Amino acid sequence: MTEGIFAQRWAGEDRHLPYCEAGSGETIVAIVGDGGRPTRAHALLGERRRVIVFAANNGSPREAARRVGAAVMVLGIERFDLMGEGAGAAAAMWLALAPEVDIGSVVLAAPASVLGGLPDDAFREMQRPVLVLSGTKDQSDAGDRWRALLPDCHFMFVYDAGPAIGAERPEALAFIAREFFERRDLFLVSRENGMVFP
Amino acid sequence: MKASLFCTARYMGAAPHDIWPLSGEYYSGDAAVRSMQTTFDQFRCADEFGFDWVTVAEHHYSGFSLTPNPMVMAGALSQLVRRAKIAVLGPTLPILNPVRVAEEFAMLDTMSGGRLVAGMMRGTPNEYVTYNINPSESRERFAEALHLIRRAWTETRPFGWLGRYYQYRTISIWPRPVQQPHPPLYMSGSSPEAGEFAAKNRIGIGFAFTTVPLAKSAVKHYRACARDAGWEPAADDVIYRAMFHVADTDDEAFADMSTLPPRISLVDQNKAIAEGVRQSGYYGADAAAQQQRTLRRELADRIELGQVIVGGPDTVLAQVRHIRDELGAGVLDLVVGAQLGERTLHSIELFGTKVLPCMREL
Repeated sequence: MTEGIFAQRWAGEDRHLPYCEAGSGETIVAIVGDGGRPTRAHALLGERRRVIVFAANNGSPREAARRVGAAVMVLGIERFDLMGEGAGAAAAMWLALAPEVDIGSVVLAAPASVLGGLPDDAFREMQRPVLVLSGTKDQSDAGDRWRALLPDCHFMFVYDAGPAIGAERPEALAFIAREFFERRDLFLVSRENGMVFP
Repeated sequence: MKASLFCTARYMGAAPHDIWPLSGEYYSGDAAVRSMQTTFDQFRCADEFGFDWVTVAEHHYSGFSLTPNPMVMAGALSQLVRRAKIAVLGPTLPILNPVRVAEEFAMLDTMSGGRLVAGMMRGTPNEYVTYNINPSESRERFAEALHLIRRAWTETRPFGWLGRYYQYRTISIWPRPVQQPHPPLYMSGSSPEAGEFAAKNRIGIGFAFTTVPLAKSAVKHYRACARDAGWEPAADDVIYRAMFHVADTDDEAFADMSTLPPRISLVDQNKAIAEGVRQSGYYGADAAAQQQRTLRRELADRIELGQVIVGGPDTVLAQVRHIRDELGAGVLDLVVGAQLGERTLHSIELFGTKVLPCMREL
């Protein structure tokens, strides 16, 4: 079902960078791991927003971020919110560090272990709001390591999920990502209606 | 083997014992105050005469128990009971706010100087009506709440929770538990699903108002599941609860207990609730066995099945030894059987002075 919602296209330098797109409205750019495909979480986000999903292909996260950033510029997107999922998280953070892009806020879903010499100090200086999500079934220490890298981030456990939050708890991921993108740090304060009957 | 005294804070005024929910028309404030004071006296007596734990539990809308919030009672006991551990067995987890439960348990552990025993219960089925929670969700709510509470106790940095039933944007409890990483945990082990869950999560189990044969089968299942999960439960990981009354002689004890009305489980006190709960799938894989636990029985049968421990000290010790031999349980949770004023206090004293020293050797 998700496959049918997303259209596959090509962008970037020489139009060699594939991406999947669905929905309309303000843009969310999602960077997933190598070979990753859109999940139901992306489809749910696509019901209200334009969602563009890139896979962080072979190469360093920094190079993947550069290629995605270039592709986004070619697509004429001036401002967007950013998701990094699994092995795509490091690329998303590199992209978020780039001064020339206008990113609202960043959600990292089950970010993979930090590899490839990520610059701790640069990450500590991240000014954009970041939400890190970690599945309670994720046996790795990646969530803790990312939390240590980003001391000012918001951190949430996603119950009953492993490293594939978007597939395992898509409604939960889409809900909280939408909340965070719309309200950033203010997402801490609930706006849900608690009235049972008017 | 250890002993705990469990007082439900039973209402001592005149009121039916077979209606749920019980109408407030029967309520007398004076009788309720007297009930609470009696409960405090019995807990103090247990502490004085060597009981290892004192136990409180959550029940609502009934004269059977005046502790709808056992945390409040446990808070009082943390100051009244100076030596024994405070066992809250427990809050009915699926109907409560789990962060609040984590906070209150941490408070109790701090107030008692690290004497808290934390029970996590699914509760009696009627309690789901109390706060309008669907009983068919009880197991999933229980599992999620328990995981969340453990995280709240052990995570040192603020975190949010995106659950199936619970959602919090940030959690960082104060105070935190004195016992590290957290107080000892127990849950009911009556059903196969519960025994398996407890074993997988390295949690002790307890049995309340069951029979020794049913508990024996459940303990065997729990121990097998624990072995599969790579650990071996200790004796203290198994609690068995039974009603008790000790007198100087068997004849006196049996005469005292003959005044006891037959026990009717809280859920069976309301046919519509009993049927609604049954239809919800609350009971799981062994529904028939679960219903065996709550059958109405004569006193002699209840003694035979290990639901009631009664007699002079030697007779009671033999009954305790039978339970220990059958179950390998390390903790006996003793429910005050008959509210008989001084004779009940004497029963607690006799158990503490005549039975408990011998239990230690079992």
